[in-house]
Amino acid sequence: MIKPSRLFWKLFLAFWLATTLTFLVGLLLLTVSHELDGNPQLDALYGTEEKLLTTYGADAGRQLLTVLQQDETRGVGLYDKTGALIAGIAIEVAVYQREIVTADGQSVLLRASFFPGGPQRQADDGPSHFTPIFVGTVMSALFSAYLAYYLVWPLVHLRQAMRDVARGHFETRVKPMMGNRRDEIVDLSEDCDRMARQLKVMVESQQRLLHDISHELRSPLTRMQAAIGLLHQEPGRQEMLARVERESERIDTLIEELLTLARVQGRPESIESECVDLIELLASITEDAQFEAHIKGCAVSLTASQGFVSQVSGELIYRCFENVIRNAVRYTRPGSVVQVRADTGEAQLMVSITDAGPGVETVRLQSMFLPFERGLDDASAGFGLGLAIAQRAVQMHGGTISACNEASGGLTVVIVLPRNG
Amino acid sequence: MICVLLVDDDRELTDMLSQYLEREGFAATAVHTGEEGEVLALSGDYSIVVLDVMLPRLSGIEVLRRIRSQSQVPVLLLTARGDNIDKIAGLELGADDYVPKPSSPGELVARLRAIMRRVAPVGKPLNDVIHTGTLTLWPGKRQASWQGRSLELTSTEFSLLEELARHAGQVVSKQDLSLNALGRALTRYDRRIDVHISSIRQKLGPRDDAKAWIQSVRGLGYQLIAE
Repeated sequence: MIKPSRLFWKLFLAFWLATTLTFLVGLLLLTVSHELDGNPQLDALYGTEEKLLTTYGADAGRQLLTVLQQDETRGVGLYDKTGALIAGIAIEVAVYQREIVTADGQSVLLRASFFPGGPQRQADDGPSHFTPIFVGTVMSALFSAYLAYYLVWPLVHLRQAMRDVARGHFETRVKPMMGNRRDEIVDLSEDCDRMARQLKVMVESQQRLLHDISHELRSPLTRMQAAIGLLHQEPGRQEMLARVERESERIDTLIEELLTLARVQGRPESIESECVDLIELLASITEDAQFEAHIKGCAVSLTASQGFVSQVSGELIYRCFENVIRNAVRYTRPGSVVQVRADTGEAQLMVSITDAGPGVETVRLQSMFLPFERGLDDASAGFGLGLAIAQRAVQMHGGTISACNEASGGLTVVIVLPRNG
Repeated sequence: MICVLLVDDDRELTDMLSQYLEREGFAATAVHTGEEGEVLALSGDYSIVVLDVMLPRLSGIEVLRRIRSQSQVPVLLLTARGDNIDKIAGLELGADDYVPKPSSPGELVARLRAIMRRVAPVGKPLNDVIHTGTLTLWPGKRQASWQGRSLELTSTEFSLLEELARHAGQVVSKQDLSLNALGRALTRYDRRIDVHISSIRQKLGPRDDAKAWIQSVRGLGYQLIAE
């Protein structure tokens, strides 16, 4: 059921006004013309009276009007020169009057409350019957024209704006052109403006991503070229071959991470989900990370109470936890412990990962989740895609991920996942 | 020995490039920030600077601007392949040439040699002088004077102007300019010559009739107006 809207009321009122006015004006004109026109009896009366006066004199005329019963309001009145009523009814406002010199030489005034004349006059003035129709047509045309203009004018702007947006001019804004108007069309133009803004953000982030990707691919390729150049100079340098190998592996890793990023950017419906115990998953990741941490002289500890089974994409959630925990191991102080805590609730699971590293500048707490954002002195550590992948994976499952600095230094990343299925 | 200053934040790359350059007979020093690059480039100890455009914080373009405000030391830019804005901006600011990344180190060495040949031409006697109008060029010393004042030119600009001055009053094709002054063949969509010429035009100023001293002849090339 569609709620009657502003535009609806505008349309309704305008049409209603147009039709009603047409009807009323027509009716009024018809009534007036009927009121003024006589009828055959009255015409005959007037004709006879005139004839009696001119043929037989004033007395004959007086007798006719005296004898004849007339309507109180419509009829004929005979007046003398001084304006006194001789016979017939008193006519205050005469629609028609004529001075007549009677057969006996008197001058009298004959007044009527209608146009005498009978059939021949009506035939002459025929077109006057079309007046109401003509007026109605013009009125309705004026209203319709205004209405059409009122509706079409903003749509023309809107259409132009949409075309501009389609051509890539995302700065186009329609709202300012609408003035003080407020209705659905203005709401639509606001939506159009919002869409243009959104598109601008999307295109820009796309371009930035492309730029970052090409830059990330370029660096290992340039190093590879340099290593190959050195090999050309001295074919015996085996370590250069190892370098070429390392760089090509790096490119391979980048491409794989990019593909994962593209996958988690898709629609949530597109993931294949399965029943997974997330606590079990965390335990196995912690165990793997333990190995890396030992090399640094660090440890990873997991605190969890009971299991948490949920319908998720096991692979994506695995990657998410793994990226965050490995980041923590990478940045934590040598000899320190990375704390992984899992709080199982009825409806959600909250995992917090705390390291004992230098933390992150406050301005970067949010932007660190963007693709290719990484610590400044960290060129060899990775591409800066891990946290971006983690964030998208969590969001796909309807959860949230956030980071905050600990008072003691170090960074805590909190992941909240709702229970599905 | 030609001393090369490498300015690039990729340490692994500069390590390998230094080794490569040393085996090709150059002496190479590498720094990894724009600030260090600027200081060393202005120290006068290096014959040529290889500058990466994509430096963190202080960009290569900004470093080039700072170097050019005080020195005409030859600068070769390392730009991102396909990034035309950096290329044009770099040339306009007075870079002598650019090499896109990724390229082979062999390509880099070829460009370095081409620039060095221009800077220190072999077999040109020091007393070689070219006169045309109020322009005087001493190719051996890489010095120029214009309307009685000394004219500051980058080595690439000098070579281009020298080529035009040797043929003053004649049209020199872009191909010839590219080959003889830049030491490389003209490629499609190559805007290098036009950018350098426009920079020289600005340094020469307009003629009395408000036209430029170097006229472009559409489809043919450039011509230095002879007095």
